[in-house]
Amino acid sequence: MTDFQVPLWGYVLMGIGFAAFLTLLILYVRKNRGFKRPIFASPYVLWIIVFTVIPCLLVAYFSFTDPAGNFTLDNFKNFWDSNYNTRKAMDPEMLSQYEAMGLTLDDLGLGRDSINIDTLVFSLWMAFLCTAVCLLLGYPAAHIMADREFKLGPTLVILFIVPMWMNFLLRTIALMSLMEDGGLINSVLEWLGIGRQKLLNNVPAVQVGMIYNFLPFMVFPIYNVLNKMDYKLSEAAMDLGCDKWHTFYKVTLPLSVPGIVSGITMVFMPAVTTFYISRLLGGGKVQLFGDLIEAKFLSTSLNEWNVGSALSLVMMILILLSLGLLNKVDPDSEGGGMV
Amino acid sequence: MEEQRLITLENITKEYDGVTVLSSINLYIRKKEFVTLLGPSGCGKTTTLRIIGGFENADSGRVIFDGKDISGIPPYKRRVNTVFQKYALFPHLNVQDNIAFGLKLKKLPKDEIAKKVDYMLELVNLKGYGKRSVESLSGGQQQRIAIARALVNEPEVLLLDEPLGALDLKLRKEMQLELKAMQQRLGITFLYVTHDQEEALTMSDTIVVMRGGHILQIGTPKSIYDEPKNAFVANFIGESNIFPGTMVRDELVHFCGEDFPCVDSGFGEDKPVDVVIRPEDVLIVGEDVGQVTGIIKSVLFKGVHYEMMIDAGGTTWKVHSTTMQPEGSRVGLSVVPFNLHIMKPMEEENAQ
Repeated sequence: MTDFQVPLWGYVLMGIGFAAFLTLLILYVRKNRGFKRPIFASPYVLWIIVFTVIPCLLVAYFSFTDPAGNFTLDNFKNFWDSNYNTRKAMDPEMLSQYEAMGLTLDDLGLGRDSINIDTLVFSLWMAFLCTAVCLLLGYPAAHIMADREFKLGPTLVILFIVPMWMNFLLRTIALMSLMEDGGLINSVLEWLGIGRQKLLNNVPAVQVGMIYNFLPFMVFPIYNVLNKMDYKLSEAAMDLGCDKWHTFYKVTLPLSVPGIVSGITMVFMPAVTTFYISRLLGGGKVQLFGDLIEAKFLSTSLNEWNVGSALSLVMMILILLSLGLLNKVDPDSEGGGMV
Repeated sequence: MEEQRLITLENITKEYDGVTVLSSINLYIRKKEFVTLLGPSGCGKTTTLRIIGGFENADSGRVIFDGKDISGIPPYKRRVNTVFQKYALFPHLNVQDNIAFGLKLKKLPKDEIAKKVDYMLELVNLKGYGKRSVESLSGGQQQRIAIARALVNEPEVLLLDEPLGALDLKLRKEMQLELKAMQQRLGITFLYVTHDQEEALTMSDTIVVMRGGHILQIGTPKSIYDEPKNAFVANFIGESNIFPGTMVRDELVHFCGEDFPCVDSGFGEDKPVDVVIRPEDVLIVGEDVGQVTGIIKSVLFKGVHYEMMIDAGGTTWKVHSTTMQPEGSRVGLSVVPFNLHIMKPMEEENAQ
C-alpha cells in the first residue's frame, strides 16, 4: 500500500487526455486517409532526443569538464592512469617532502595505475570469447532449427524463446543457484563420483553466465536468415554436384553471413558492457569495464561522475568503431529481424 | 529399341502424409528425346521429376538410369541436372560463378572452365554478362543463366520444372523455340514439366498427360491432339466439345438428339460414351443440309478465327470458323465421321 492515491480529478484529467488523443488520431487518419510517418513518428523522435541524444551529449559534456564545469582533459588522463586525479589533488609540498625522504610515487601507491585500461582489455577479451563461443554453439543450433526436414524445429525455437521472457537478472540468479557449492550441478558431480567443484566466483563462471545470457541473440538472427533462405538453393547446389558439406560451405554459409554479422553485433555489444553478471557469478573477484563505470557513478566522491563519463565515452567510441567495421562487412545489413 | 531407353520408371509410387501423389507410374524416356510431363497442378508431374532428380525417394518402384537402378542415389551422384521453377540462382555469386559452380566442384582446370562458361553464355545469348550480379538481370535473363548453369555440366538428361512459368507470353514463346533448338543442337534428353498444353505441343517429341498421380496417355503431340484417349485429355489438350452420347452400334453414335455416323467401333451396342469434337472440326452449313440445326448465340473475334457459341440439339456447341455468321441466325452443323472422337465415359475410366 502506498500513501499516495490518485485524486478523482486525476482520473478525469487522464480520461479527457486519452479521449482528446483518440479524437485527434481519428481526425488525422480520416483527413489523410491513412497513417503518415512524420506526425506519428514524432513521439518516437521525442523519445530518442530525450532518452538517447541528450544523455549522450551529457556524457560527452561531463567527460570534458571538471566538477566545477571547466573544460579539462584530466578525465582522460585519469583513464590512462587511474591515480592521476589523486596525485593532482595532493599537496605538491607534501609530495616534494616525500621525495626528499627518498620515497618514490610507487612506494606511496601513487604511481601510474593502469587498472582502467587493463579492465577494458580484459572486458574486450571476455566479450570476444563469449561471442566466439556463442557463434560456435549458436550457428549449429540455428541451422538445426531452420532445417526443413527436422520436424521439431519450431518447438526448439519456442524452447529458446521462453527463457527470454524471464528477466535476465532472474536467469542469472537461477544460474547462480545451479552452480552453488550445494547446487544441482555439484550434487550431480558428487553423485557421479567426480566430487564437488568450486564453480562460482571465478572467471569461467562469469563467462558461462555471459554465454548463457547472450546465446539467444546469436541464434535468432542466424535462424532468421537461414529460415528465410530458399531451400531450392541447396537443392540446386546438390543438383550441381555438392554433397551435404559442400552445400553448406559453398551456399548456406555465404548466404547466412548477414545473420552472423548481426548476431556478432548483438552479442558483442552487450557482452563488452555487461556488469551485473560479473558481480553475481564472479563474487566481486571479477571486474569488467561495465562494473568499473558503474562503480564510478555510484561513488559519492566529487569528480567520479566526470571520470565515469570519460570511461563511457571511450567505450562508446570503441563500439561505434566496431559497428562501422561490421557494417563494412555487411553493406545491405539484411540480417537479423531483431535489430 | 530397349537399348535406347535412358530412363525407365517402374511402378513408382509416392505418398505424402497418406495422400497418394503417384500411383504405380510406368514410363520410359529414350535418348535425345524431348519428353513433357503435362497435367494440372497436383497431378504428380513435379514429384516425378524430383524423383528422377534424386530430391525425393519413391515409396516403392525403381528408377533405372542407363540400365542401373539409381533409386536412393543422392542428386550429386546422378548424371542429370535441373532447371528450377524459380531459377534458384545463387545470389552471392555473379553470372559467371553461377555457371561455373558445377565445373569448379569437378576441379576442372581454370582455363577450361572459363572456356566452357563463355561458350554457354554465347549459347544462351548473354555474352558479356559474366561479371554481372544475378539479381540485376531480368526474369528472362535469369532463366537463361539457370539453363546455362545446368547445361554446362553436360548432363545426360536435363530436367526442367516449369522453367518458363514466370515469364510473359511473348518471352515464353521465344524461349520455347530456343529451348527446342538448343535440345536438338546439343542432343541432350530433356524432361520438361508444364501445365501449359500449348508449350507441350510446341516443343515435345513425346507428351505424357498426367492426372491425380496417374498417367492418362503417352504419345506424340499430334496423336494426343488428334486421338485423345478420354474426355479429360481432350479437354486439357486444346478446346473441345464433350457431349454425353450412346453408341447405337459400330460406326453409329447418338447424341444431341440425332444419329451421327462415325469411324469408331468396338464399344458394344447401346453403351454410354463421351463424344468429343474439336471446335474447328464443326462445319457450319445451310440450315437444311446440317446434321443438327442451331441458333448462333454469340460471336467472338479471335484473330485467326471467330469463336461462336451455337445452341443446337439441347446443348451449346463451341465452333471455330473463319467466316462469320450473324448472331441469332439459324445454321446447320455438320461433322465428318473421322472428326468424331468416341471415348469411354470418364467415370467408367476411373473405376477401372
